[in-house]
Amino acid sequence: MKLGLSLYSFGADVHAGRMDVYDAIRAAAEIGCDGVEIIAEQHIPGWPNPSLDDLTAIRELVASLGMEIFCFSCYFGRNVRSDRPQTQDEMVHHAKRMIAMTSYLGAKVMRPAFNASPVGILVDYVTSVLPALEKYGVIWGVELHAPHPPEYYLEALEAVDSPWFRLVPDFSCWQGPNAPGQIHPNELSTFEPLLEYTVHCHAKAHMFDENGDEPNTPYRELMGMLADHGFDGSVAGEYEGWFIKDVPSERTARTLFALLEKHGR
Amino acid sequence: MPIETPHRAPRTNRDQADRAKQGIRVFSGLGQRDLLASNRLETAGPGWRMLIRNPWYTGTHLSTVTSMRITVNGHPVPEENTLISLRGQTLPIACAKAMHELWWGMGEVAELFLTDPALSGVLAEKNVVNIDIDMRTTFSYGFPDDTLPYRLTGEMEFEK
Repeated sequence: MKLGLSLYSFGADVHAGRMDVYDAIRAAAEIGCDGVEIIAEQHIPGWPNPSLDDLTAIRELVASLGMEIFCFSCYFGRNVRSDRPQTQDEMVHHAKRMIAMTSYLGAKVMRPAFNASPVGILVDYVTSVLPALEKYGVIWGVELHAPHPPEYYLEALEAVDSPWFRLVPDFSCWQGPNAPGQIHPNELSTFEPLLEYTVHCHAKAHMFDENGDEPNTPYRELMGMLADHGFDGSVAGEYEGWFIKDVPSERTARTLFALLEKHGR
Repeated sequence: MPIETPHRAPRTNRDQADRAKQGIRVFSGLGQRDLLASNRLETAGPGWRMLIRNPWYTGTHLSTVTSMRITVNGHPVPEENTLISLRGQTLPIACAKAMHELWWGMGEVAELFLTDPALSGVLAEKNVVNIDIDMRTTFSYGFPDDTLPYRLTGEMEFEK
């Protein structure tokens, strides 16, 4: 499997204006990543209407450092406007833009954040853009994140039944009860039926102990299950402790990537 | 050295409501931490200018700012005397919620212009500024009314 970092991990410095997307990409390369995940609404200059020149510069910088963009993350919110929710046509138009942009950046996976409640609306949404996903060679990776139960998207994955609609599990689902945001810790065995759909993972971390381990997240077991399955996708470390504490992000990113290498190489 | 040890982590959530409360606290802490891009209030044109960063954890449409209320040393600045400016585009704060086309980037610094004449009698060398922002989330994070109620504050200097 390929190992890298989500640039989300550099959030402390990006939010404070101390680092931009180019700095974060260079830092990830220096740490030794195979690739990165980029979040549109956090990292792309000129969002939501970036210039092709900026997108090209990002793509070329990542490639020049010997990395790839594992995943392009974006948000599919309905409450963009104050006067009304987005129409279905607007949602589909936005999704097609993001699919094309993912392709332009050279990423294989697009992770849209979208409220799929009930899950059936996700099935309709994905189905309506399947031709675009196939045309551009982009996989819609639906993110499974706490507090959703691990089986939350299985029905949708089975209903759409397409290689262009797959799963991005976030390790938050298997974090222990002391992890921030956790409501229902899940048994590790619940990861097993998801493996066949998994194309990319978010290796969530909020904190590290003196050994560089994440005390609330069973990294060894989760990474072991991926390896045993023969997983050949990507895992991006996603450090979220920057919400709680302002620590130099290069330091925590390095600790997190070392944890991934310890259990994933 | 531990960066954040478990016993110092936020308390375990009991249910979705508790999770939402914790989320508001954590998101607010991040917004507060990086809020002031400068601790100086400056005279600007017919009023005063201050610099704040987007408190949200990503960039956002300006339309998600459904309200922003500024108080200086306990004096509430009227909404009609509060303007926000992004990349040189200045508009009354009351219009922000209609501006879904205008983007407020992650950590991007916005200029706030306060044109309330009464401030001339309120401002001191050191000032307490309260910034209350109701920010709508573009999809549900579980907050009541899908709105994050930022109640932020800063100490700002002003040279008379």
